[in-house]
Amino acid sequence: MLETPVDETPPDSSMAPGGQFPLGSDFAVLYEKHHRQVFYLALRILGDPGQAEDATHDVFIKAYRKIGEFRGDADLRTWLYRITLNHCSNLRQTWHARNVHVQADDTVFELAVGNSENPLRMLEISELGERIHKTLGALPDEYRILLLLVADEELSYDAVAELTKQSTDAVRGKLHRARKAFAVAFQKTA
Amino acid sequence: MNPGSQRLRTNTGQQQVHQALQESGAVEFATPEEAIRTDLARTMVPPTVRERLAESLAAESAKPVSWWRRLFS
Repeated sequence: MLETPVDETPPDSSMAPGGQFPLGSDFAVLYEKHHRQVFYLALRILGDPGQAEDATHDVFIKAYRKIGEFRGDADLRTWLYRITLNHCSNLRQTWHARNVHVQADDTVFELAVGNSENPLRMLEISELGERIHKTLGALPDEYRILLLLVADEELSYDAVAELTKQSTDAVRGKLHRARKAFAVAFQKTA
Repeated sequence: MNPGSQRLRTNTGQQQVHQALQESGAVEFATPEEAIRTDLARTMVPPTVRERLAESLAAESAKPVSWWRRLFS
């Protein structure tokens, strides 16, 4: 899913003529509204807080340079996610990332007899970050990104489908398998 | 066994588990998305991101306009 960069052309161009937003005005509003989601997406894709920090900085620099072409607020989150996905994809295509990252075997999750209907339980909320990190790390890229995007309630299934370059029906179908895979992997991280 | 009483016992068992979880400080999530949203809400973005961005944007604004941009503007 991360292999091919998606089109980052902004969907509209009336929001920011000239694109000159000093930090402290409209661009700061944009940053305040979306930076946590951008950072989190990068963190859970790259798995490293330092890399996620760099990625968030670079994504917003890129957004700043291109925001003059942006046309409206409706798909701003989607647009930022698109830039983030492309940026993380580029980072992960480095030699190190290609060779160190272990690709999860999808069939393991397909055949697993985990019960995804049961709630995900844990003893300490303080363990959540580590458990989510390990769980998502064990999933195939496609499932990981799908769950991260769908978890954002501001994003419609259509937007998720657009970002992941597949049909909305495909998103719904894969989401079911992704949830099951997550439940199986989550149990193993206990 | 009466199916009704079995279901009642199952429900009571679930309530007890839920109550025990609450008392122990444990948490449960109905879906992966719920767990992810909670994780997101608990994740702090380092303030250095904003500071670095402000510096970069200041430098970006100070960049001289290239000759070809001036030519076509």
